[in-house]
Amino acid sequence: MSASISLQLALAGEHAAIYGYGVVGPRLKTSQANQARSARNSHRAARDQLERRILAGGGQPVVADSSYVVDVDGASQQKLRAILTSIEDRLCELYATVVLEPDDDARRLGIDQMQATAVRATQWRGSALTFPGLQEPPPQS
Amino acid sequence: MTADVGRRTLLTGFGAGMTGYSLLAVSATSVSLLTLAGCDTTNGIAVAALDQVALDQVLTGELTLEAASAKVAGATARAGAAAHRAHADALIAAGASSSATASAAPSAARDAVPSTAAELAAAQRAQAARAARLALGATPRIARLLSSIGASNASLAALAVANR
Repeated sequence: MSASISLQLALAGEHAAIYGYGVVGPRLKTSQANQARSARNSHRAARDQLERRILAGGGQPVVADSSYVVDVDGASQQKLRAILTSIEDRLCELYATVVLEPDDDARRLGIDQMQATAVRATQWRGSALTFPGLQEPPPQS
Repeated sequence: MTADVGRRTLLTGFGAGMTGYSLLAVSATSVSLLTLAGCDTTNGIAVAALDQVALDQVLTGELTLEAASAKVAGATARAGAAAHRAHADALIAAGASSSATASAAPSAARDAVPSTAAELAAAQRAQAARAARLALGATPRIARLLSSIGASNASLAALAVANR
């Protein structure tokens, strides 16, 4: 996998996350809506960072879709938080792929964003994953 | 309401809300192939020297945190103790030296051992920073494990602060 592919996948994920937060956030109660707004701004910053890095590497950043499926029909507050948890968990997995890159700057970005997405997922879920970003838990001794 | 449907599929796992499969399936396959092709295993094959240092240092931290979590009251600390134990087991499985186990006690004595939830959260944040720093110099497979453990520690610290 080339650096551009893992970065492009993370960028595509950020586009989707920004859209998802835009749909879900306003449906949350006030304090959590504020938290969602802050998270959306963090995702915008991450998107911009990824775009700059891809451009610097000579790539063409993937653009956002015009829309994404966000099923909020009759969703409870708990379901809305679960959607945001899922968004952050999946992004964390995408950034775990960026961590595999040999380029130090890309890897640093992946590591930082793994922590950021894992913390936000924990805040929405109310509990922490033991191995965030890993689709399968590592072998135990 | 249901927001309108996107043309392209990007992200899986958004089952509760956002859908998409094809690109992510490619991604998951590529990750597996890269992991298999680019990284050593610990089954009798030497772990790179930098990996060994990183694994040992993070293991020492996890063992210290596991012991400290067990002494702090509350469900969050108990969950943290189980997580730190799982981190330690994964690090040992990845090749961390058992000598790190022996060095955990002196390390704990040298460093301020957390005894309150706030101190534990601070120690978990420090462990997250340590794991992130060491992941930068590690081989890809170890870097991903250390990054995940770092992210978990950052999450545990955030949870402890939220539950105070």
